[in-house]
Amino acid sequence: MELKIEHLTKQFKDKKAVDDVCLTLTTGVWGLLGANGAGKTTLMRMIADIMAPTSGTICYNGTDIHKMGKSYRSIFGFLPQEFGYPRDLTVNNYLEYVAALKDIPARETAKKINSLLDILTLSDVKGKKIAKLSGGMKRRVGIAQAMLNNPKILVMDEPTAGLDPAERVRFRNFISEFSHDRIVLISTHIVSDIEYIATRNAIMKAGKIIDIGRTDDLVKEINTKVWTCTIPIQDLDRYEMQLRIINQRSEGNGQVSIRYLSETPEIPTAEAAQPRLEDLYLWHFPQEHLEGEVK
Amino acid sequence: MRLFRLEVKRMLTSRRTLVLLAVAIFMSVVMAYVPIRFESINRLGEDGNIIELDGLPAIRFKKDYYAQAADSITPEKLAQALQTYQFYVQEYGTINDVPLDIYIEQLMAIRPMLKGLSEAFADSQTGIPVDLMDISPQEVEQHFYDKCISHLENVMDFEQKDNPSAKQFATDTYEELERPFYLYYGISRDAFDYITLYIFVLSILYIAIAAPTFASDYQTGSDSILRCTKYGRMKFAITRILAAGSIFIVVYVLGISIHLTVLNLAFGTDSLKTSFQMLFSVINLPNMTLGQLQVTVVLAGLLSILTCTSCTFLISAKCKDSLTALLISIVILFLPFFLYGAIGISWIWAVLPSAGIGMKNNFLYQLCDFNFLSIGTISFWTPYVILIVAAMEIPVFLYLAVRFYCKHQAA
Repeated sequence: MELKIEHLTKQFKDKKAVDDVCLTLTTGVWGLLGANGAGKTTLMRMIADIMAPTSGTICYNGTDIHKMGKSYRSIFGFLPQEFGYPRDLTVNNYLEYVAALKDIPARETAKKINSLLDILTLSDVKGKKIAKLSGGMKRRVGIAQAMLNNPKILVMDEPTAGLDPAERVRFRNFISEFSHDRIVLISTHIVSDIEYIATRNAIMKAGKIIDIGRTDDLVKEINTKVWTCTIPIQDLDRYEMQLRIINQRSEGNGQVSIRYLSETPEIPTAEAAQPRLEDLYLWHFPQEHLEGEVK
Repeated sequence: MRLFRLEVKRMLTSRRTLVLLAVAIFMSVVMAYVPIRFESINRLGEDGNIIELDGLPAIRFKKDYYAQAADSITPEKLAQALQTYQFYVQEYGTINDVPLDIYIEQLMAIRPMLKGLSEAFADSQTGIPVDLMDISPQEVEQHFYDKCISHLENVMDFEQKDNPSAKQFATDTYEELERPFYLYYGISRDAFDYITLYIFVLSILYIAIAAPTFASDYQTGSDSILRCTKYGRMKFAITRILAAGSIFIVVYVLGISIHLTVLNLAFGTDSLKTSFQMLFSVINLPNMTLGQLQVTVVLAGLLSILTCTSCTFLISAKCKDSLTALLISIVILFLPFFLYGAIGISWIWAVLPSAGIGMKNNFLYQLCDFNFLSIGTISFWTPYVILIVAAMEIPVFLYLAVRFYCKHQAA
């Protein structure tokens, strides 16, 4: 099973949001990383067939998804970045409604909904209006609707936004289990969420895929570019000017431990550190670090 | 069917929709009550004082009073009524000088019958109605219905002089009217005005309900989820339109039924046998009774409302937010009213979905009028144009609404 994206381009008036992207998604969890405006959402919308590409094709097992129409949508699940819902519907009514649209047999619907609500710890709010739920709960309702039809292709744009740490862990475990024999594409700013579960990652920058691979392989690229060392706290300002410090922790006694990205050690006492996906992300998107958006 | 049921359920769980539908039902009673409240009559009390009756007591009094005068309007009866009228007016000077007791006893019952006489005998050059005192009862007896036809010809010569086919249509249609006319005094013109006004109110409420149909989902982003589902495109759009349309039809039938029931219970159903010409103008073309007119106006109203809502679905499928869809739909709803006032009858007015809804331009007023639209030498009477255009537009608007929805791209 594969979803093949070939030379996909989306040109808006004055901007190329997706620029000649070629990517073959196979079974497993795929992490789609990129800064704001990198083109992730546009790419996901085209994969969801709710936005027409300017050029290029997306094929599922060799067939153009647009031509597949209904048969593609019946194996597809999508959670957009902004989860919109009818204001007056309860969680249960909403999921029943989406289930009918997904052609899930009526006799299976209640069972399926209850099982998803259990997994996503939403059973207690089943009868509540979605509008009255907290942000994290709404997000989980969004995840539930995407998974109602046991999709073979599941695309989720920022699924963990608004979830608390425990919910994120549950979500990661659930997705890991779910992803067997399925293609799951997740875009997130919370790099740690996909670091644990993504079998492969694609990194987008300015509309292009700049890197694809397994997490272990990708981080090898920065094997000797992540450093740690302990410095006197009074030197921190100076090093902050010189280096791309991605983490700092006070060690007491006027000392601070820093983790930074650099081609060379720069500080004589620095030691090479084991790189992580987050380091790679920050290596590619230094601006993200400055904006403090990476968690 | 399951999707349809869930869609209806979704619509009926929306507080906004429920409030608007409740207003629609509530207004059916209120707007039926207003023309009842308008009714009034003066009568003499037992002590000789004038008693003014309003609302239902006035209608009750009139019903009893006019029941004796209900009959077919034959030229002989008209001539006799005219003679009675002329006798009393001659005796007292003017109609206003006739003492109330004599007026009530002798004249009031025949006044509705005489209403059309001045019009039928109007001056052929100026079209100005003739005073009843200047009409010869003999001529009425011999030529009343001929006079109606010649007055119609005069009116058509005046209003449609460049349109011989319109004149031909009018005279041919008029020739086929069932005669003599029948009169049973009761339901008022106000009541009919309020039926059309109620239809107008319903169309505003329906547009408010229909405007967010697709635009709201675009606005909230829920569209991105729904259109990714198996049935999230054409089937979804059709089901959503059908569900809304079904609710509109059910509420329309319910609201209009309540409205007409209240009116007919108050005014009595006997008056529904009255000929169209006896309530409006003696030269009007519709060959129908007031009962048939009620049904015609209601069915034409339903057709026009469905055309307007279909147009609103189309606008909703095209607009990115509900407010824009609502504003555009409301402008389109009111446009015929303004166009009618500004440039009169035109094809632009006629092709608008709400051509038959509104104030002066509404379907009922077009039935009472002699407006024609032409293509070359062929003329079309505007009530027919309204119905035909509306019937043609519904499938076009719905097709385009579904198509636009299916083609919509996430923003």
